[in-house]
Amino acid sequence: MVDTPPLSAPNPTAALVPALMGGSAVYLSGEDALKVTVFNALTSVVVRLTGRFLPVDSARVQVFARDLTPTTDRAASTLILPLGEGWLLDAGLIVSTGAPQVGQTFGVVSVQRGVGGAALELATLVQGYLTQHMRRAWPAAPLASSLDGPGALRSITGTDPAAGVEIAETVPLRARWRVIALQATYVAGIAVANRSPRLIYDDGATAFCTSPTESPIVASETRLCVSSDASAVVVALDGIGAWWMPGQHRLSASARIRTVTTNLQAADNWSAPQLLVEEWIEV
Amino acid sequence: MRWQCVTCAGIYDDVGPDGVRYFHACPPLRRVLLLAPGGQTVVADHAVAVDLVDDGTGKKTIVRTFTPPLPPGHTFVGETTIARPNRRDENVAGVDDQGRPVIKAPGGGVVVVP
Repeated sequence: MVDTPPLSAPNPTAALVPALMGGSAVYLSGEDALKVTVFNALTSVVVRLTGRFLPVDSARVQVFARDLTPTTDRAASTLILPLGEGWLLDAGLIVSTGAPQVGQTFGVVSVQRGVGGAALELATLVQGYLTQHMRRAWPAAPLASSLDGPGALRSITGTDPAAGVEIAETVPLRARWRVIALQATYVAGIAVANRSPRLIYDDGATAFCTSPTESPIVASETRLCVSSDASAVVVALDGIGAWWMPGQHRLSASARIRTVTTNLQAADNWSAPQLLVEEWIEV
Repeated sequence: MRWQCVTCAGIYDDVGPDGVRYFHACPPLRRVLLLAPGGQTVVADHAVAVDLVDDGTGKKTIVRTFTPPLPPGHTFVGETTIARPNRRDENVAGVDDQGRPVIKAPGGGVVVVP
């Protein structure tokens, strides 16, 4: 059997492999580059890549630092950094501008060979959520999933629907939510009818959880409809009514939280819903 | 900045107080599911008024009144939703050939709310 030669032979005069505490340096052939990929949900965030590199045939360690301003729609933003031939000693990501919570800015550093559409990702060095004080660094930090650990707690004001229109909030693309609480005010018009608003979770098309209210809303009544992770049904008092909401449901992108009101009248008006959610980026 | 959707007239802020963007999507429209005489299920647009009527023995029955009335031979099966015509969905689906973000559905557009 004929041995297949390597695609690119290492420099025969390369320095001895540097010794690192807790790991070993990564050899980069000169055709390799670092690729930074950031998924971000918060405005005004800048992510900084830093690290040290020892070029082959050199005893002087080089320091590198590059900034990436990611988009704010949780889509991938990338930065490619060629380093030449030598040894990567360490690399890390941190938020240099902005103050995201854990769950809002997720970074990946990988070794890539080639550029453009023909590039091949060879190894992942760094993967995890970043904040302005929490760095993810190789070789120290383990790789983390974007769905691991706690998410970002967010208080969200949804769309204020027009009169006669139901509430409908959609989990954004590349996000995963756990809805902790929700409330909205229903102002009934003067038309005589018994309104019964239901809270519904669906997957974007088909409902999988429906919660009714305990008593109908009558003409000219204003009721604050609230929902949290509670199983008790509360009788309407002081203009407050309750929906039961299962707090452990995780909702993927395009899932919806919406109301369906029996006997909804054209002049009835929902307020903008206020939601408390725990959010992760779904990579 | 505060916007109003031309399609559904909903009002929202494009960036929340927490600095995270909000991607508006129009709510769906409610429709009824009817069983036609031929056995097929059809989706139709009828307003439904629902009442609980006491039959005099203490038993309550759900009575639905449809506007307009159901076609002859059709029976009510349930309710469903359909996507609003010309709906707007601001979630970013991808980028165009110049790298600019493209939203899923522009709908009728938006106007600034002063």
